[in-house]
Amino acid sequence: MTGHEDNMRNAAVFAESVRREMRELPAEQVADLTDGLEADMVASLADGGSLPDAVVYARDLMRAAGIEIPSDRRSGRDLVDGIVRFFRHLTRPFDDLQPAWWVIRAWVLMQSVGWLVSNRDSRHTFVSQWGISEMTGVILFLGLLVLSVRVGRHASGVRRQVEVIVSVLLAIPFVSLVLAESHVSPDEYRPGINYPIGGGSATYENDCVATVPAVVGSTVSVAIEILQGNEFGYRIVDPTGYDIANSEGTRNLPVTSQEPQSTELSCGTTITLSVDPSVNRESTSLPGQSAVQTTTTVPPAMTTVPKSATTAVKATTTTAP
Amino acid sequence: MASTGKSLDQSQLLKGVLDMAVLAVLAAEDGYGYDVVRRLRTAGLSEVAEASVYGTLRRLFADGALTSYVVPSEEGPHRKYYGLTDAGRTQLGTLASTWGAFSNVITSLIQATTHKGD
Repeated sequence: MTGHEDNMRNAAVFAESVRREMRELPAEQVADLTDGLEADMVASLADGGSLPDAVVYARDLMRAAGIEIPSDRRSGRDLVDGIVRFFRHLTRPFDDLQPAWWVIRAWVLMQSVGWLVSNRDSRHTFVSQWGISEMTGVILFLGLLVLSVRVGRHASGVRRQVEVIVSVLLAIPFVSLVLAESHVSPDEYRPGINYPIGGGSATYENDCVATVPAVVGSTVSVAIEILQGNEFGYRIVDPTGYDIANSEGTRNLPVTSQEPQSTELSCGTTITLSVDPSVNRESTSLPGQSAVQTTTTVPPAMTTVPKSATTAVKATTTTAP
Repeated sequence: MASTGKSLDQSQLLKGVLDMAVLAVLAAEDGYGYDVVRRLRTAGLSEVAEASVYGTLRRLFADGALTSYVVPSEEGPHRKYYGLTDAGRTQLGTLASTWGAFSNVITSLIQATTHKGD
């Protein structure tokens, strides 16, 4: 593209921006004010001039033409204009990167939506982690991208700058959240303690220490309630050491032993509760009937439930291998 | 100049006389917007703002001091030329007369002050 063609294109874009700044005036008046503007700007650029700020330019043009500037009728507008011009001055070198900004804006918006509609304990906020499916996120992103580009292409002058300022301010909490969630270093990562198994956000401060309450003799449901109230996780095992799911048939079983017992431990530490399922079967079996099997043996790691993962206890009903 | 903390700003002075300057330029020869700007700058008004000149041209045209016509360009967008009307020449004469008297007063004041300082 030649320099002259560049000048013509830039002049046309600039003239359009100036016209948008005058959108509150009657169309006929805008046409009269800006007729020939492209040619004047092309000549100015060819003479070594640079494109002025469209907002300031439009105001000067209207003022010199003796036309009351619509925005002058609004109180407080000068302050807003001042702020906007300041940001405009800062962002002008990045004008060529505007398309990238539109994409980033759509991405941030999508992640924000994803974070809002998904499990907020989730450490990951990418599409594949929160959507009904990955395709849902992709479709939503494309939709937001189209919207972002359309808004970007139609915004100009004051509106564009206000849009940039508001977007940046809105993005700050989101970015802070992402940074905070990624703050835990690999050394601090302890599945089941500061992260729920399967991935979860850090929920315990490193300096949180509590005394393990004694729950032997209590029913499982009461023991769980006590442990959770003291910031501990738990697992339930039978006398042979196999994990047992926390189910309807387990809750009323008495805890026969616990490990570890009363001592000070970091919050979130898993406390092992031993129960004897045969007690339940004996108590629920009636003459002539078989015992109701309500629990299933599962691999140990699958039933570790730290406090962070649940406030209401979730039952795990995985089939034993 | 006495140190008052402020300097004489050409752009401030131009506000009051831009109409006259534009009319004077066009009295010599018709021209389009940027052509008028260029001629004003060449004459020494280096700080004249393009938007101010273009707005002044539109206002003078609306007041009947200028006429305008479009000249198509093979290389780009059309140019809008301006020229003085009879009303514009009359207005320029009036403004020039007022300016002459005004500038004489100011010049006399400055010279009197300068001589006292001597």
